[in-house]
Amino acid sequence: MKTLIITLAFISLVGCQTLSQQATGGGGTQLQTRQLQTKNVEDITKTQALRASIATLQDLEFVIDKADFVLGSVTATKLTYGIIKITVIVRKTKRGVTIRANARQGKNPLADPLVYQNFFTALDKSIFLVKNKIN
Amino acid sequence: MSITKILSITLAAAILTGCVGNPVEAFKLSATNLQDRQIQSRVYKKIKEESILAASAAVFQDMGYTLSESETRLGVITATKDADATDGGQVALAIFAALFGGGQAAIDDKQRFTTTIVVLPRGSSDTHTVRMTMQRVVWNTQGNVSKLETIKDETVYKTFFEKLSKAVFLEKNI
Repeated sequence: MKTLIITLAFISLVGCQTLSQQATGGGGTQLQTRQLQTKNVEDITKTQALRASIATLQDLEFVIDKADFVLGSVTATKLTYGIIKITVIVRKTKRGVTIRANARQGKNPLADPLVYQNFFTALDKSIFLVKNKIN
Repeated sequence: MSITKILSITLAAAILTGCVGNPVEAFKLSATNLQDRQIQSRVYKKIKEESILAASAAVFQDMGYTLSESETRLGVITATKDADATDGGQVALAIFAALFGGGQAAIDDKQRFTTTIVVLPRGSSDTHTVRMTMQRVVWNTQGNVSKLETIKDETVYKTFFEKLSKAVFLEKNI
């Protein structure tokens, strides 16, 4: 009985987060997270960056849930590896755009830098194709 | 209860509450990416982007879909459709299992298709690539999700583009 209680207590402690942490993602690594999720691209228009992002998402087997040109956002879903959702936001800068992506797998935010490295590697290919109007 | 047993139970519980595959792989282009893109794309010449989008929306309506999102400035339309998912083979197996005392097996019941059309301008003016991608979620008779998948069946795309080609023809000649 004792061991069962210890086991249950351990399991409940593993997932223990306050409401504030659950709703706002806690604090601390905000800048670091932003950095690994962001890519700056020069000599590209907002439209080209958004179209390239959408093409990449299709390449990666996502379907588009929402797209908003004015906000520069695209949200998409993929149904392999559970349910993966991603939002890409493109913002115009002086020299080009910044592209930020953040993804979740079900209730878990994807924090592995490799996720974003892989996404931006795929995006680079689409950017080349869109800028050169080859598709 | 031994330490090993406690550890195994704890680990099993942790695994059950956690992950579904390695998401890093989900962001890599698959080996069949180029082939998939070809199956899912067609090029249309001498037609404006807004006319292709109008033709695509009309085809979605023809197929019984409702539009859930559109952003014409980015050439995107997404549509969904709920449909029956009953599979004759599964029904036969379930009856067979019940006859031999296997109890009532859950079989596929209903499904939701989500389809995105993206129109991309190509080099020459009024030439566009249209790419369609499709996913589905299937629920079984117990109300649980039984399938989450990207549709790769070539026939689905072939049929869709046959319909779209007709709609584009109509759009050009209206």
